[in-house]
Amino acid sequence: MTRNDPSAADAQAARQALEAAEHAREAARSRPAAPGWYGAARGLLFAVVFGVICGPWNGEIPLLIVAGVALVAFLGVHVLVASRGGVITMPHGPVGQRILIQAIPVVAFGLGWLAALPFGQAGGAIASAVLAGAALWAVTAWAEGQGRS
Amino acid sequence: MTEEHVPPPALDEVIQHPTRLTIMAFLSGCLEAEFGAVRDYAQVSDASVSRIVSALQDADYVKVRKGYVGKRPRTWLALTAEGRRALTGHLDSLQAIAESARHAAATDPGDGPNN
Repeated sequence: MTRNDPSAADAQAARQALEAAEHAREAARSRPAAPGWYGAARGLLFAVVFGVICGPWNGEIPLLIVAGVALVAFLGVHVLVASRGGVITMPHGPVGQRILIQAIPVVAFGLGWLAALPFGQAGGAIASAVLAGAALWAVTAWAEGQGRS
Repeated sequence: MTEEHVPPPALDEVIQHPTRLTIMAFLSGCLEAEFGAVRDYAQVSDASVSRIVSALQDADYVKVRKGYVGKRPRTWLALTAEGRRALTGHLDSLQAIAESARHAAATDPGDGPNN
């Protein structure tokens, strides 16, 4: 009877390699926490951008400039925080949860436009921007907390 | 009575080296990682990481993206789909080796005094 089983040394080496690989993977997933202002900055900048471009004042150049600056800042903040620690992590959680996180601000934006019924375009733009900004702030803070749990 | 033993699955020779496996595993935990972050975790020199990344690139396991943070150039590393498959296969092979040895130890009657 011939056997070709791995030796105990092979098995030990395999286990050590598996542990090292798992440790490395977890290290990549564990990065510094996002700054405390991240969620608020995202929400506020989002609200400014959409509050300006969706309102009846969206033809006013100074406001468009403000919206443009806010948009650049929104993208910049996202890139800065998303790549902190030199690692861009994968989205966390099941697919349904990730879709929900993206959908909540969109739904809030849509619901905000109900304010246009009594208050017109201005009311709708402000309400939708504020609700969507607040929702984005909340889901960002929640997602960052989930990522560290 | 003969027993048929299925040999352990083959390990991936490209990934087998401990530092290469460490880097591949680190990259598997993220979408992209900056060169410095990978180097710092692996605790090897820039030149070593460059050599390893080149080898992994040649095997189509890793892709490299050059970018800038402000005016400072940055290099970003990521596993390709092929790299993720290769890593998964390699880890499965390691797991099979570890479990096969455990199974063999559990079922081995051992060498008695008459052998």
